[in-house]
Amino acid sequence: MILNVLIVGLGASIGSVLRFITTKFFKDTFKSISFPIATLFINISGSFLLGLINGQLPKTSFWTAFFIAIIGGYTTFSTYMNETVQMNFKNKIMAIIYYFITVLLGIIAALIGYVFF
Amino acid sequence: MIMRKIIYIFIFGFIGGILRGYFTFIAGNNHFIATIIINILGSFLLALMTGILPKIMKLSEALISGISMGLIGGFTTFSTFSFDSITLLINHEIGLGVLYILVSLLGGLIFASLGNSLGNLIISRGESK
Repeated sequence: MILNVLIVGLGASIGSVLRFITTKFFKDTFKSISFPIATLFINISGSFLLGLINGQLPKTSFWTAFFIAIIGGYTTFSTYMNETVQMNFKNKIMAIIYYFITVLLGIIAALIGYVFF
Repeated sequence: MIMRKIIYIFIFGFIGGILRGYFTFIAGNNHFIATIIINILGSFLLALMTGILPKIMKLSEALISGISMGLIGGFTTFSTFSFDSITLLINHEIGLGVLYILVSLLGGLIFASLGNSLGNLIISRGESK
């Protein structure tokens, strides 16, 4: 169990740094867009990749566990919720769109990754 | 500055991941419930901390990034949530799947709002003193 927990920790380290770099890239590239496209992209791409890993790689291998751990740390639920709450103070309609589009596209992406690839 | 942030996020992300891993493994077959609790708790803590941390303590920007993006960001996970959802739906556990999605989404939103309100309350009390 200790080894499994350590793998999740190391994966989350790498995943969190990847999330930071991706967020920074989106903020630098699309400066004028106030919609949180960085987190949207991260959560949809991560959901797709997690579906893909679970569908394609052997269940018991070390690398499967390690890749799953990286994706687990790369995606974020807390930022998604907090961006929704913060946006709701400025633009309610945008907040509602963000809230629903993330979960809808996230689940579809996980399904496509798992079933169709 | 960027390098310092990355190092802090890496270290705190490790702690966040360890905590999520530990809670998930001790939950065993109830790992769905563990993920719900992790995501709701993390949403609350992030909302609470992003508001009050810079005001109550003198922390560097890099350390705050480490705590918010690493510790809490690495603790919560969206991909497990979406993959768990399709696992339940594909295995014809439609009711449980819908319940899992609804509790995660509503719980996350409600607790992020509560964290935000509590943070504002703490800050306004501190300022009125």
